[in-house]
Amino acid sequence: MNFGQGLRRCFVPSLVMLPPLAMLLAVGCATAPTAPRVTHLSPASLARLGQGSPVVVVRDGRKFLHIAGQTAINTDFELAARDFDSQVKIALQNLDLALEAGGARRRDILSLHVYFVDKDGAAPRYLLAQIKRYFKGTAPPAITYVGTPALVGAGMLVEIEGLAVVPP
Amino acid sequence: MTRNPRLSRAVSGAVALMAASASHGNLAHGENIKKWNPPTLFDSRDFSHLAEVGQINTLVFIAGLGPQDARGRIDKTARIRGQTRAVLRNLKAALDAVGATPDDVVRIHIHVVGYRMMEGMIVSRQLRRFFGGRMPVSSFIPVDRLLWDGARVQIDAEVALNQGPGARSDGQ
Repeated sequence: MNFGQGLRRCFVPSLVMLPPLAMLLAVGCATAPTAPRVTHLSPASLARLGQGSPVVVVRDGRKFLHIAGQTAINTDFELAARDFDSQVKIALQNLDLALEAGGARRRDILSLHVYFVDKDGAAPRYLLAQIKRYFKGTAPPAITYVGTPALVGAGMLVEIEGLAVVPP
Repeated sequence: MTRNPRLSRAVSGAVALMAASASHGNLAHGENIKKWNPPTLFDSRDFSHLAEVGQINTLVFIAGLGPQDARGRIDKTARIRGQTRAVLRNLKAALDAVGATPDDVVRIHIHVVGYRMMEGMIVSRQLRRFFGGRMPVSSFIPVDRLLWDGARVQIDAEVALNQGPGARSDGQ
């Protein structure tokens, strides 16, 4: 990303200003250019596809957080639930914990890849309901859903991988 | 890097040309993006092994797009060719919405349900046409199912570009 460009833009004009104004400018610019701008788009020419924004744009992001596929595995390295719905719930809780540890929030998520095992044809319905709840009140990221025959551990039914932009 | 886009395009073009003469394969570039196959890896026409993203200020994430038309309908009788065409139409619409072109796409994932061996070639031919031979980094993944009944193909994408300060990214 464009390191330095923001600083040049801000500090060059500030040199020719009166000192108090220069200070204001410097303070104002110290945060403004580094704040990433995230825009969520749903082009009219695209059908609404599940839960998620078809297109997510991030401008001037400086720090990004990759989050490994989160599952229903707890800190004791045990699968904390057997059924699909509970596993999705726990995986999303773990996603929250990962975001928190990395200094990002739900609204900072840019994209998700959701890998799920569908045993009875009902998985998409449960999945979409929970994702909808998870992003209630905030624009959802670009989400790609992939049905897979199995995940790495026996009994694992969902894995959610993400990318977020970390706010300054 | 938005101060003189014409100059920076010319410079990156020159760099790309120099690099092209030093390696083989389908070197391609959007603005400040270089996609190529190094001589140490097999030369694929269907994808680039590498995409280098330089000075850009905008990243775009496109969700896995299926073969739906604008009203959400899937032609379930469409074979892999027809579904791929529909997915690429949607990808074009998504790129248009942010003022991006296929050259700005750095990475795609292609997910295919019920994959049979020869179908990769059918998908690849359409991708080559879509990207004008200047291929993004990609992974082709046979999968069990997609979110939508009857959908056999899905493509998601990551795009890198420079948007000027006045650029609107709402497609209006």
